[in-house]
Amino acid sequence: MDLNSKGRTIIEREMRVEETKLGELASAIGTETGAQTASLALYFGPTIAGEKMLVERLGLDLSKALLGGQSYAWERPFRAGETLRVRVSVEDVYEKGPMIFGIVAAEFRDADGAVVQTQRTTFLERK
Amino acid sequence: MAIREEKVPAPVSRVQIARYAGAVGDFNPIHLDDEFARAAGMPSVIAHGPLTLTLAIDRLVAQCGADALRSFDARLKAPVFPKDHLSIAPVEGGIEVKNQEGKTVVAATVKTV
Repeated sequence: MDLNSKGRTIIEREMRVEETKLGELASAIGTETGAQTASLALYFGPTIAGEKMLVERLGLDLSKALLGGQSYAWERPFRAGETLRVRVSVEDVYEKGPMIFGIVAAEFRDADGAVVQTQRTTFLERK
Repeated sequence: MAIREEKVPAPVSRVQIARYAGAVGDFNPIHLDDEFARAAGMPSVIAHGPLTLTLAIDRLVAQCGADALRSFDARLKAPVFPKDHLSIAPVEGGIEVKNQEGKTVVAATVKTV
């Protein structure tokens, strides 16, 4: 991980909540409640721009990195067809013992600017 | 809201992992390529951490509905592999996700309305 990546934006853009994507995730979950759950966990913030962008902006070495933590804070579920403004950024990067920790924050706002969901993701990478 | 112990209905599968990769656009080879996973020290591919979390959240949704969930803050403690049978168990302030051997793979705090 690049210790200088703190504060870097991974992606900031508008995107539409696609019904087909909700369906794909519901299918992957494979339960009666999959569609409801998909409306809460449709996106994994760090890879919204694709994992190549994450690797590039965070300087992640995929062969040595693991996901250590993930949090979701929900104001409400996503709605099919709505447009969101998403911002994903590197909140912090620091060394601790033999590991490097990287925190990626993702914020999803609706067309009125109201927060719909926030995520915080912790990556661990062996030095 | 009281959370009940509950099994995830089906074991984690490679097809499910591939479907999840496509749905969220996370094609990290550790989830899809056994050779890459072995080089990274794993016996095989592993499930995406967020997939494991999503399966746990799905059990919470089944118990209390999507509108009732306010936050889910998880630490991933062990990898999840294809064919693992997962279950959620209530603990103080949240849940633990365990595999078929009773090993905790995720510990999470949960807040509901």
